[in-house]
Amino acid sequence: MILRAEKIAKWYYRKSGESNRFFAVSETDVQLESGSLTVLMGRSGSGKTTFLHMLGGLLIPDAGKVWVDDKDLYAMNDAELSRYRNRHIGIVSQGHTAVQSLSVLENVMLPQMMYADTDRINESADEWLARFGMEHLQEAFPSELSGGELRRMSIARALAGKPEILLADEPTGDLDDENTKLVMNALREAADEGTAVLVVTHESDALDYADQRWQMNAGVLTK
Amino acid sequence: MSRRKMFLKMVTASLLRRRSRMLIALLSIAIGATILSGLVTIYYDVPRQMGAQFRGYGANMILVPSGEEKMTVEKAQECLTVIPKDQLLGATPYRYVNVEMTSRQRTFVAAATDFEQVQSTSPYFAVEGRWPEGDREVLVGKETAETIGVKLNNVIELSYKPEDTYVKNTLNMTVVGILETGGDEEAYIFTTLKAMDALTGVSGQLDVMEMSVSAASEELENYAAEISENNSDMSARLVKRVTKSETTVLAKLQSLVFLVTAVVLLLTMICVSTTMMAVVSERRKEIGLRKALGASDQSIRAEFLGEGMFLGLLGGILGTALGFAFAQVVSVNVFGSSITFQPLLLPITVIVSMGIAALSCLLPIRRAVEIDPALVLKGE
Repeated sequence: MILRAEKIAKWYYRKSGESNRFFAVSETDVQLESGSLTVLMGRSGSGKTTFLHMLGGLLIPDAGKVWVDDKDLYAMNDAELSRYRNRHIGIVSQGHTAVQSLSVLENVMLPQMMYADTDRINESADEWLARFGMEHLQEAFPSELSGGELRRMSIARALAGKPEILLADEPTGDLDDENTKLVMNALREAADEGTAVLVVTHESDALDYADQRWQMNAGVLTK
Repeated sequence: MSRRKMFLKMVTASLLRRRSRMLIALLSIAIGATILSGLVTIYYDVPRQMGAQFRGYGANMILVPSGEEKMTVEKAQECLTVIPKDQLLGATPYRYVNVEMTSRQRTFVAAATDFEQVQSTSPYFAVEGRWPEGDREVLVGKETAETIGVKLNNVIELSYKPEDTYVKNTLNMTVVGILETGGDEEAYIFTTLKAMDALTGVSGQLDVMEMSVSAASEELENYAAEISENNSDMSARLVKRVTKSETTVLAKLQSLVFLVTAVVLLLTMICVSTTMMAVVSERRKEIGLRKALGASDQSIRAEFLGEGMFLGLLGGILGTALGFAFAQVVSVNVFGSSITFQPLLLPITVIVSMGIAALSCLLPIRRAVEIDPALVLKGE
């Protein structure tokens, strides 16, 4: 599977009018391929997250198109795009997001449970939690977890569905060195198994795992 | 775990996690449902209750011969069969004859009737003394009693001369009661039908039959029409003064019930809607995350609608029980009689409560659907 961004851009208008158009992401062409891990580096506020959200079908670009193979992501309606994202794209978001009313295990199973229910979902969620050293926290609720645990839970949630594209926004932001390695190895492994992985980070340690390295400065992406 | 089970868990867990907020929403739905079921119970029971109250103001239907011929007792009884027994609270026959009071050399109207029935059709008749029990006892209207100076336990002589004879029939009657009604009846002397038959020498004749029927105006009209249709020589008419005021009072009362119910349900909607708006704001991040993970707008709608309707279901059941208790208290205190529970009220109240809860959720759901996952996940 190939994720291709074709001249995508995102801009905002400042209060004074169109003359002050501010580009969060300038016109960019990129391609993410199966089996590769790409690391996008950049300072805070450089547009990395906006770029990732556009690739993940969460934010409509003001210009350009995002293709997954021959499918134009933003030509789909809400139901189609939601289902497509659920099936093919794994997203690790920046903050500590979890459904508070569900247990850790249920949170990990949640994306897959949205459109299907099989026992394999449970197995896969168990495996990833065990791998991240959280098997004893399966029945705990998100409010009982630390920041690092929440982060690992959200990575397990993204990986458990074996997505073809995985977009991770600062996946190691709250983690110590040991857990950073654990997570980066897991992402590397996912890429080796055929997933197209994009890691957005400002930590240079991630570069050791990358097949491609991109840099973003003030909305301009350089390869 | 199945998808449905997880959906149910999310709905119930979400409700439980926000217990205090949800309790407020639940209470407001329950109060709305209480007023709805209580007032609807009263609404349907009021005609019966008010009918019973209005029967205290006298007969609401009269039966008279349509031609010159007098009505017979048998014919009147036959006409009464049209009205169901449980609705016929009383039927009082009247025969009016001009009689002479020998000692005063004056003529008065004597009304022969059945005193037992009079008490059910004209409960407002006030008697000083007692009601007649035998055929030689009479009630004298207050006006007549004052005119001729008759007092309780006096014996008066009533006489009547049939048209075809020269001999007067005379009866000595004891005055056992003075009648006060505030109406024309105070000018009459009341005897039993038997005494009148003996005085006139003609039996089984009636001038009018007054009936007290516990039925709504339309039903009364139907009975009257049926009696008149089945018996060409008889005419049944409604006492407009009574039936009209009964209909007017009922219509006003029922409009009031509708208005109060509508206002309370509107307030319920505002309260539930405000609570659900607050819940959506609290769960903004969670909704954004679920959208990012692949939840469609439809599934977000379904979840909030599910929560709202679950509250509606609980509030509806609670409100039905409380509403019945409320209606019972009102009925006992206002009308002095209890009401029976109408089983159909439970599904109706629950469905309306769920509908109101669903309507209340429309705006919060719109807010939830409009949440932009990209903004939420960025922490904005």
